[in-house]
Amino acid sequence: MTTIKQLGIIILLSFGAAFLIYKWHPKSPALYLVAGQLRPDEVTLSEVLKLKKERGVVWIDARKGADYHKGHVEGAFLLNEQEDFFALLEPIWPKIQNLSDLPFVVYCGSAACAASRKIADRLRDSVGITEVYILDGGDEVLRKAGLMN
Amino acid sequence: MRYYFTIISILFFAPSVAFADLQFDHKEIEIKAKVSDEVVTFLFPFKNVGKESVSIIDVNLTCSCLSAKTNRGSYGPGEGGHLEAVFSIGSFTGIQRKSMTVISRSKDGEQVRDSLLAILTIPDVVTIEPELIKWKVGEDPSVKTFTLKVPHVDPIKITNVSCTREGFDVSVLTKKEGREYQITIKPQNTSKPMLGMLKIETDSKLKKHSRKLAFFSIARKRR
Repeated sequence: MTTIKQLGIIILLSFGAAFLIYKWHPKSPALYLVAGQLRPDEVTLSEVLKLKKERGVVWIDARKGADYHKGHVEGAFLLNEQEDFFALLEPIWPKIQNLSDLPFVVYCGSAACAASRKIADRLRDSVGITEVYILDGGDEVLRKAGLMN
Repeated sequence: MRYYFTIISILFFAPSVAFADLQFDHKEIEIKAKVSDEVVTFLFPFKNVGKESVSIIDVNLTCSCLSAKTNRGSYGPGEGGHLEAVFSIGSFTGIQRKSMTVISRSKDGEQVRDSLLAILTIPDVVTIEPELIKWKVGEDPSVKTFTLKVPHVDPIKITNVSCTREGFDVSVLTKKEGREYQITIKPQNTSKPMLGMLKIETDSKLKKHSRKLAFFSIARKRR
């Protein structure tokens, strides 16, 4: 029984020390997936709506074509990797090249979807769009906000 | 004392020794795509080596370029099957490594996860360097060059180059017929920010390579 008690005390002390360090350390990291922990190019829907009101935005849908055709944000352009990014880009280019002053906002099928980042990187690095953001939360937040038609 | 250590060891390690009843022949498959391939199929054969039937309840994919299905949903003891993963090549090039997780459940309700890896090498047929040419607003409107190369075994010739913007001088220089071309582009001025595209048409019989795109921009100076 003494061993169990000792083990329990050691575990409790370890948790206590870890908690105190986390609580008071000036550089303690935020826990993963804490709301508001966004990368510099990630934006929340409320930030996008503010941008849209102030300057307008260009929506880019990075999901599969079948999902896009079922419903998408009004005016969104379909651009993804699995259906040939460049083949999708070419027919919409006359519009895109004249909208390049506006912020582009990319969304995909889930909060953890990597497709948005890949498409955003391509728009920046291969195409030359300077202001590209990734919507935090993917199409789910758009659906909840009633923005998917 | 020994008793407590045994209990603690079981608590810590029990989850990791849950045996999978599905045994895959290969958990990693590597395929080299052909130039004409638009999709590539990976087949992961497996066998139920357990004493109970096993159901595949889900396959988690890490890329929307993949789709996966099994030939049946449930496999009895000793029965074999396969998971078919289809990779849509789209605009991917080079070596692509995509993982997937097969989640199966035995009759007693225990869930097991098997990680599989599909490695696809997609040949470069036509390369363009750089992909994007940039000038800054107010910069000297100098000549800049895209280099198009055909590393693939069959040569591909450029048949036409067009620009989506007016006010740019574009010309094509053949370095080696069917193998290497230089496409030069020069803006008449750099007074306004602008984005544009070159459409490069080729004699390739493959639709994907019959037209290539290259991009240029006159970007605002950062404040």
